[in-house]
Amino acid sequence: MEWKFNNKLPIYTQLIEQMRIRIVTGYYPPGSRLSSVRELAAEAGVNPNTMQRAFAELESIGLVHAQRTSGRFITEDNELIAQAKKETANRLLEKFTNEMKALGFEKEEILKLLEEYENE
Amino acid sequence: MLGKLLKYEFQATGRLTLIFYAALVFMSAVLKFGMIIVPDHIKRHTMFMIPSAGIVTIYIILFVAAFVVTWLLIIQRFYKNLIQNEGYLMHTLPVKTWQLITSKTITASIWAIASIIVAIISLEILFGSFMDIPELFLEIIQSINFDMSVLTTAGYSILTVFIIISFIVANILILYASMAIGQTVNKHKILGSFAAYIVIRCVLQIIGLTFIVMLGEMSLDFTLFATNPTAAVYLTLVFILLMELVTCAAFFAITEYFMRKKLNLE
Amino acid sequence: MNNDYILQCRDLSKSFGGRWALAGINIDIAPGRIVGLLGPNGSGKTTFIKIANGLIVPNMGSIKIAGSEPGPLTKNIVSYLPDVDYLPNYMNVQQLVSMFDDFYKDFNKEKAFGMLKNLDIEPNLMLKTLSKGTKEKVQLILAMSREARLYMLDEPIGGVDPAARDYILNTIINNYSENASVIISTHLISDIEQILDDVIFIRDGRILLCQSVDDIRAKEGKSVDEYFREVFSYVR
Repeated sequence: MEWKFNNKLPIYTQLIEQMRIRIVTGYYPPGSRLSSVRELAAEAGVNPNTMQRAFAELESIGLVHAQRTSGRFITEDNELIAQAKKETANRLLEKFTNEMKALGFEKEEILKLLEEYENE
Repeated sequence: MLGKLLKYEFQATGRLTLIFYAALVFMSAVLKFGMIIVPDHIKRHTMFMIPSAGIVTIYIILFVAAFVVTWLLIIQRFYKNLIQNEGYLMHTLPVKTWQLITSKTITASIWAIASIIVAIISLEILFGSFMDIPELFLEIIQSINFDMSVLTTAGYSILTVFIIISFIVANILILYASMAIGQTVNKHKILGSFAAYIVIRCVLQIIGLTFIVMLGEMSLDFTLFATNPTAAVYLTLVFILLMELVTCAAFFAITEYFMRKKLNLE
Repeated sequence: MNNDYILQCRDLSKSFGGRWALAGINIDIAPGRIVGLLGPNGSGKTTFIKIANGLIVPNMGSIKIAGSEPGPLTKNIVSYLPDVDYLPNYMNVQQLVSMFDDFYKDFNKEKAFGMLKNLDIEPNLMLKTLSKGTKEKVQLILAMSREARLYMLDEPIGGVDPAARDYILNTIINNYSENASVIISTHLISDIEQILDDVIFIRDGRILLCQSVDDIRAKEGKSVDEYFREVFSYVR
């Protein structure tokens, strides 16, 4: 999975989002060990302090937890992960529906178009 | 740290000097060999004159070059390594400025003295017993009817050697000081160095002359020198040595000050 | 002055024949920060870096690195990469590595040879024979092979190809330590802004701003590169 950054937005928020995606998709499996801050920062091409802040945020919402000596691990709480996945989905839906409505579509039309698109 | 700097100094300068000195000694040997081997009747032949003149010319050029190259190298090494771009490397090493200057002064002095020794060796090879310097020295001393009570001949020789060495070191430091002052002039460092050198030489001349005039004005009791020529010579030599050492100290201080406080790398 | 800062300067000023290259600079850099020093040509960036390295003596003000004024003590803990071709051309790469190893206690020979290998640089080549870009890579490798407390890199990625640039930025990140800081002076802002903690904008010897990259992006809604163009615009 690639790291993609928009350079108009703070890196910190983008890092959190991309880490969430990796966790909810299972790219980082539950319970798996996370690479060190420095390694991930180098992989992503970002400042280690910013990566550290992102880790801290993920720890505070429980998606990641730190074992004192062995490092950082993705949570094994599948419910939490499912919830995070739903939140991410909701955000995408919000974005999608807002943009569709801005084009002038109503709720029924949006649903119909979606079905047509998926059937193709 | 000084030792490390010296190591790199010798590495950087040694290749050129040693080649030149070796070439000079080699040419002397070749010439001498030629002089011995070639029988007299051929030597007088006009056809022999041309190549032999050629070889002698090369030798003379090499002889002069040994000194010229040594002094040019001394100047160029200081300038290139401390004032041009390499200065960014040297002045950010964890060493003090005086260590940088000292390492170069020591190396330069060694090469300057070596060039003299090599020249003497070369002349020895060519002219053998004709120019025995220590014996010459002894003859001069003995002709002045010396009282050896203050110092032995060896003593005077050593004193003279020290004077020569401090004279060489002083000259090196005057060159360095000129460059240290000259590098403060933006975009005209070389011109600045030349100007500084000329001014320094003039000032030294003036100081020297002033000194002599002052000595003349003072009604010193010189009878001591009339009765004891040994003392006269001894005191004069010691005085000269002291003056040279003071010059060395002064110009070292000037160089150090300008290279530390007025460094102007571009 | 606080010894917890890696670099601190107060009212730092330097004039060259009447022109003030630095006019009262105040900077505090904590350990573990990667800072970008950004400004147009002649803004004072290089003068500041030279003063920090003891190559220029300021007219006014003070600067301390880990509590000491620039001198042999600070040179032991500062790794400097100048913006010029400054290594002796007659030496080969291996000899230069040995020389750095000789003089700097914190130099890591293995790291240097490792990086040379990664960038396909033969150690027994003389500097004279290398291209400009390769020489710059060598200079950078020597600077990054030191385990210094402060790295001052003057235009580290200007003269190298994009692939090498990525490698260099990657090296800077990998070198990161909470005890050490990096100051990068550059024009190529968009290439490096992602790895910076903070940026300092400098113009005509004065600091215009000192802010974190994320703060600028959040507040201005632009990349630092765009914001820089706005602040320093020549277009009226």
